[in-house]
Amino acid sequence: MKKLLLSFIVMLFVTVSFAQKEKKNGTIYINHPYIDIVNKASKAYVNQDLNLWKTYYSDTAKFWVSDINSGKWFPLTESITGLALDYKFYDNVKSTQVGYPDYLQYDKDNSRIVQSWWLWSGISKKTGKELKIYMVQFDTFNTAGKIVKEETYADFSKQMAEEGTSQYNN
Amino acid sequence: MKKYILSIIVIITIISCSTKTETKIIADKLDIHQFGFNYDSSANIDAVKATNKDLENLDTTSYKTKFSDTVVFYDHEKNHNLNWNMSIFKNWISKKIQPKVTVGAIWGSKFNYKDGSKGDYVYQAIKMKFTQGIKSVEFDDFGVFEFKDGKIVREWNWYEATKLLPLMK
Repeated sequence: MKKLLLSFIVMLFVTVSFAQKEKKNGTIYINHPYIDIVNKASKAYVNQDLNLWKTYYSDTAKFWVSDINSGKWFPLTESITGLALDYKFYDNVKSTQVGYPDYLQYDKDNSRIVQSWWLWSGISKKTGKELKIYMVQFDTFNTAGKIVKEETYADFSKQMAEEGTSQYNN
Repeated sequence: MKKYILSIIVIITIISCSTKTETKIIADKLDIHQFGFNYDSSANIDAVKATNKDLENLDTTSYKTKFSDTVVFYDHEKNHNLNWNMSIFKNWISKKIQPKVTVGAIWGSKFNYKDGSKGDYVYQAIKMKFTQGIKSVEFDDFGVFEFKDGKIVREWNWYEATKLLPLMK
């Protein structure tokens, strides 16, 4: 009996220990005004309205794109220049949402981040071929509801090569 | 002695129930737009960290244990199976390519979907470095890992696929 009880205690300890290993640090929302802002910004970009697009960002917003600009952040003005190049080199530029975005509110530092998944596409004016790029984007918001940081992961190598941008880091 | 052991059981049971009560309270507070929680430590996060170590150690045996037999890898518009992933490992080994993984950020998310199903994911942003003799290449990678019953069942990656080509010749 004593052995059985001891075994039970050991099992309980193991269960409780594993259960407490998981540490919650924030809440995920399926609908949120900040998700709407990210969607509106994407729509403005597709509509080639960069004046509207930039209104969703803080003036001091910083941008980071995987394997571009040697991993350094760049400012809003440079981002606008880069996006304008897309229209110059591609027709029918689209940004189609894949899956659905999430709004993450972190307990630590009260961070507010929207993560969204996209398929960028455009028809090359040079070759007539369609280029498709799957992207994941993280937008961090300030308390005024403006995007202050945007990080994007994707394989932009073909797009950057076509646009001949100096931002492309080989 | 028996009373002492029983007291311990009662205490542990109370602690276990307290944790459940807390979870219940959190669930009650959910508004219709909340559908999940983020985690910064969990067994699944540890499993993804362990796959990084397996990559660095080129330990295919240990790596495979973290994945379901039917895992699907989504890589640049294509879907692949575990054998495909193992063939990449073998290529690295045969070409004496040494991977190094530097984790920038890693976190977990658990979702409660409207249809009653649940989603369990780990996300990580890493810098991959591959060295082959005096040559090396580096690139950023973002990975999403879906877990079921403690195993990775789906993995997505966003990275620049052509970066590794010079070492694969």
